[in-house]
Amino acid sequence: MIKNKKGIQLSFAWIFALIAGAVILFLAIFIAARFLDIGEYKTDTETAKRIDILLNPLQTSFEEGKVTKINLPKETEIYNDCSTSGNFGKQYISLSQESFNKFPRPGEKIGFENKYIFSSNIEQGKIFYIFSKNFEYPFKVSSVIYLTGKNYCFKDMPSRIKNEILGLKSGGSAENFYLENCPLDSIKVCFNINEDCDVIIEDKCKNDCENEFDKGIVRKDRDVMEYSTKTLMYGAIFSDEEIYECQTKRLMKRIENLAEVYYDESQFLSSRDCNTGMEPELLQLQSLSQSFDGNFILLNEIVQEINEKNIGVCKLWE
Amino acid sequence: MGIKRGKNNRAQLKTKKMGNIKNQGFLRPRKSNDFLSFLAFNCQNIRGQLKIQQMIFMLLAITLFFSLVGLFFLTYSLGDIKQGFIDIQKENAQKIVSILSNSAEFSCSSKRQNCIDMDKALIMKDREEYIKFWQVDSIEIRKLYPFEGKEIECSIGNYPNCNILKVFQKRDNGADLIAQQDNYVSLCRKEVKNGEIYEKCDFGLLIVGFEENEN
Repeated sequence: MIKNKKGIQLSFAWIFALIAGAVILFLAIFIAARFLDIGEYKTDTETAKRIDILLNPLQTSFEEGKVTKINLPKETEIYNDCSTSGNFGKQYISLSQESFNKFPRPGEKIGFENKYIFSSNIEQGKIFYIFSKNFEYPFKVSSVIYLTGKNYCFKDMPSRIKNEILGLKSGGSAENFYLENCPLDSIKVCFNINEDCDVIIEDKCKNDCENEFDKGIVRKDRDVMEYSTKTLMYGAIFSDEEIYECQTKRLMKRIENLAEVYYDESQFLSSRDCNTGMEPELLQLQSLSQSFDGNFILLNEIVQEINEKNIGVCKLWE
Repeated sequence: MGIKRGKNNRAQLKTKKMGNIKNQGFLRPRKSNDFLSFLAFNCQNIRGQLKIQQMIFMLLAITLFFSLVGLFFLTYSLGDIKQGFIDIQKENAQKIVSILSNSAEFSCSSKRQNCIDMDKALIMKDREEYIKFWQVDSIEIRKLYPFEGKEIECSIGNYPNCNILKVFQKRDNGADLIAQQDNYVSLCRKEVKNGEIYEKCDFGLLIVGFEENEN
């Protein structure tokens, strides 16, 4: 029994044991924490890749008009990144699932060149809605995908667009689109009116469009996004300005490459006595899409000319 | 064991059977030229040293044991990741085959499913800008019917009198393909006969391949 209160008796062996034990305990906890972190990273990366695979059928164009609902087990943040470098630009998605009431760093970015996803930079929620539409300009370029976890309230739509929205809702999956009795947190989308709306769409057609709102401007807060075709109109509604501009430029790169393919095909068919007469316009389309700066005026004109020439048995696309 | 009260009442480090604490540690031998007494002194000190060494060995052994357990676990989980990657690749391959034939670069028409425009596919042959675009390592189109009797690879010179069109093949490191997915398609092209242009369609197979070390 220690009678001397001034001292603590500790043999060297005990000191060594305490120090070594503390070091081993620290290492064990550190490795366990790192393993947990790596496990979350792996799960998030796998989930992002599976979402990528899930998006593949939407590219067949036969899934157009259907809304797919993705239910995730936990509150999730989906990051949408876009790059315009390279021949086709690149689309990246990554995921972060909630863990202990916070979102850890997202998993590895999954990149692909053949998909175009319009969404906000970060979409958060447990339920996400995805649907696709074909982008034809003038030929079929690609199916573009819209991804959103938010509620949207559409007001005063033209009948054609209203029928489209009703068509999306008819499958039962588009629960986030409202035409009436809109929830308070829904994003209000208005056509040509300017009263307490989050998104305003202005029609710029002047008797040069097949249908109203085929070209125009989408205004969101201070962002102004010019569009041509309804496909890009929906893209502007559901995405941030940064993502919209990036994806539009990527689509133009795809048009540039497709125009080159069709130009070569046109020359090949001409050598087999099947003349299309579209070579100069296709070259011009290739040049304009290469130098696209957000303005659709010249492109709309050349697209219309090409559409008028793509007729007869030698037409290059249907 | 207890602290022997010395005259100075200070806490003292005590080791077992170390001898007189006034010696201040076991490392200092007695001031004696007697070799035997020197040895005797040091032998008394060996037990304390051995006890510490036993503890060190035990701690090292436990650490080594758990490190080995951790290594085995890591090896297993890394193997699991690789298998998961291969499974995802195969799943992806099945989906990609179905979208390839309906893409703008191959499709006859947006209104017809699984129809490949062979004129366009020939133009697509070996286009370098498309190598990474599809996330596949090879695309091949084979005409199954009517069959010419032998396999003839297509080029600009012999088209359409051929039946195998290798659109592209990326095998820069010689790795084997782990998955080849295929899909039956219509192969249509513009044909000229007696001054009349019409669309001629054959029956074929679209084959895509993936490498083992796909990024």
